[in-house]
Amino acid sequence: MKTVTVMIVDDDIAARDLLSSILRTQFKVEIESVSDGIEAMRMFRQKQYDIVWMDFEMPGMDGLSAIEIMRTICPDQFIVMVSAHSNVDVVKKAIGLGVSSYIVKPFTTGKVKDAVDKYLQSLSS
Amino acid sequence: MPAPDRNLELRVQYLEEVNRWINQALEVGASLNDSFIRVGVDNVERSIFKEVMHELKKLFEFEAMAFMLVDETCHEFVISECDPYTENELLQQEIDYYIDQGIFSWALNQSRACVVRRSGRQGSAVLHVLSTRSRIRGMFVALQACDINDVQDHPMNFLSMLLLSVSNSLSSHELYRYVNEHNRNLEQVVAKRTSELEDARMQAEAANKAKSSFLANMSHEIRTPLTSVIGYAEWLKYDSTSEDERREAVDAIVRTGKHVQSVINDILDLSKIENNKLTVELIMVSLGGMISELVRLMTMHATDKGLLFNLAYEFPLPRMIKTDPTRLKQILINLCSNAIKFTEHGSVCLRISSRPDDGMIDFSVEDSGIGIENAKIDKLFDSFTQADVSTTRRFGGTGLGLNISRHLAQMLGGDIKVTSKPGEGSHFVASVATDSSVFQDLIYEVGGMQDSASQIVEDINIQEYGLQGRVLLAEDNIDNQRLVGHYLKRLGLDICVVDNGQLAVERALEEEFDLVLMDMQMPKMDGPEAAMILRQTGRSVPIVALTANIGEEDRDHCIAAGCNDFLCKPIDKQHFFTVVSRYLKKANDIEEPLSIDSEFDELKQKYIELIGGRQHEVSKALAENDRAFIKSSMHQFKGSAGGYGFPELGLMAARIEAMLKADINADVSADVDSFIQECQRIAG
Repeated sequence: MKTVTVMIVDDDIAARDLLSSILRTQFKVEIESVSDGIEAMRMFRQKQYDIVWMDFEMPGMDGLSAIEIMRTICPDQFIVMVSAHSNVDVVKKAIGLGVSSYIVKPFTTGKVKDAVDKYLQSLSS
Repeated sequence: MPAPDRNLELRVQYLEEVNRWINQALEVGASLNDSFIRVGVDNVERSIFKEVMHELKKLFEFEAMAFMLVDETCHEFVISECDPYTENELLQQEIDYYIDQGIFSWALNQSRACVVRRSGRQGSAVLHVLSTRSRIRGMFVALQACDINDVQDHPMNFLSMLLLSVSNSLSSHELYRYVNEHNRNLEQVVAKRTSELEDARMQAEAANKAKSSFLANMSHEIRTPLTSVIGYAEWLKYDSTSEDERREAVDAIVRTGKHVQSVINDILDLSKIENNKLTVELIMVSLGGMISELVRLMTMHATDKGLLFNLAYEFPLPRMIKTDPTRLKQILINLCSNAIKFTEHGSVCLRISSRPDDGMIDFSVEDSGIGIENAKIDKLFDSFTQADVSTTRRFGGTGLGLNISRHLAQMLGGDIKVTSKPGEGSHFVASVATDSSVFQDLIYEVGGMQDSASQIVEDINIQEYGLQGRVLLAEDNIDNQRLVGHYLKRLGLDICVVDNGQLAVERALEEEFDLVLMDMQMPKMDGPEAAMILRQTGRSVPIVALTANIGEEDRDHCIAAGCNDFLCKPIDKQHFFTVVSRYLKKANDIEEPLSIDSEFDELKQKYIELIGGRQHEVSKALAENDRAFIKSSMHQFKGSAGGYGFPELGLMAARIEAMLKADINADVSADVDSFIQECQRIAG
């Protein structure tokens, strides 16, 4: 199985740990975690990641703004938006920014698996 | 040496002779000109050759001459016309000699008169090619007595000019023939097209007429029962209607409603068949099970009319057959109902036999009814026609059943055949193909058929209660919600119902489902958009569209939006079960217990510790009225508590966060208190 490099951007340490553990049990992954959008941008400029998991609400730079900037650097970046909101308007906004997957918290194995599977499929097609 | 004046005299004489000759030649040329442009004559080449030779005789002292043409079939030069015609043989001998000597082919390449010595005899021959710029058409050959040295130039030049005209004239006649032929062809093509168009127009008119009469029939067929539905329904409104009458009215409404439904189903089936949209689904079914269901239904109908319904098996028969049971049943119900409908006294018999060599099963339905005249049998299977328009009025029905049945039988690899005698009854045989492997498991007596019949009933029961999983049903129509919900519950499924596309998206994002059933027309957000958003957000849950539109476009639209499958309304129970069970696990497939990951356990323990620590911070913040801290803590708990298996805590946190979001100074102390209590309970 391909090793997937992942950057998790979430201000909630518990959410980061939970997501990492689900990812590790299901896939072969290398994970780096950061807690805010600005830090994420700094890392993103230095290194390429297969998947970026971006929390929607964060102090400092929020997820949507961070995604907007990432798109200017790497238009094809596979981004999973993570949010506590299932509100359709927010979802549509995220789709408009080209996120590849949108996950509503709480995380479950199925939701996380769906997102990574979509990434793996995008590689084979 | 003659005196100079004698010379002069000879010269003048010669010139006068030449002059006379030329004048004569010009006359010949002018008179021939007319025959070159003559058209519409059969064998125009030969008539030109004849006239030319006739005129040439006036100018030249040729003993014999011939025009040769290239024969298109054997690609050889053959004499087309010669003068005098008695000299044909002599000419041919001479020509053969020239061909042998290579003189002939040399002459073909000269665009002038070639004068050569004759074979063995005195005199000379003139060979002149007949050619236009495009190709060689033939050869002119003339024999003359004069010696090769005495041949003068100017007659030969004149001959060249004349023969060039002949060639050109041949060429124009050929073109003229081509054009004529082409015109004739065109006329034929136009005539053919016109008659084809006329045929098509007549067919279209006939089809149109049939459709109109069908529509007229149809509206009668639908209006009549609707009238009684409305009539009975109004009757129900009156207080004076007795209880018995009410029951009767309701019965009548249900009965006629079902009739209308069957009419509409027939129309839909037919339109699907006509558009090649009807598909068959081949599965293994118990022959006995299928037949016993059918016989139950038909015996009831027959008994109502005072008829006997007999069933006869011709053993051996396969226990199971591979076919589309829904469609096969539709065919048999149609044939049996027809038989019952058109029989006043006596019996209807269903006979089942098999032909293992051809892999066919025959279902024969015999009645002692009114029968059909031979001449009308062929028309039986046409759309919209019964044997007689009057029978429609007498016996009811849409006149579509047989047409549909025959199409279905053909789709199942067979056909329907009829024999009938007026007044004695009709005999319909529906044959369907089945897998040859089924003939390995044969039944030889009636008991075996009944065993497999009871077995199938059991199978259906298991099927109805045997699935597991969570299903999201998005449907705005309350009746369909109930019906589909009922079916899903009977299958043993956990369901969640929403009534618009927006809610469907939100629920499907928040929770996990094993299947989404999505109505395509819903308020706020329709099915295709909701399906598309779910796919764009990366959800892979199977989505089955529920739609009242059966067109291919609608279907493609559903699939393009990301649906995996679709179900047509009104929903057929059996088909519904089939489609739904495609996407869900059977209840008896006991899933492996989820391996509880030690890492997750560890994390959960850490999280509990975190809750323990965090609750102190929260209660401290509450005491210090640090509302920003409370809000951000709640936000975190909201996101993560559920994932660690503490959904209540997550909900409490979400509630507090929402209150603070609405008003940062809101009174949340009671909620925070119960939140802290919950934390303490978890942290133990």
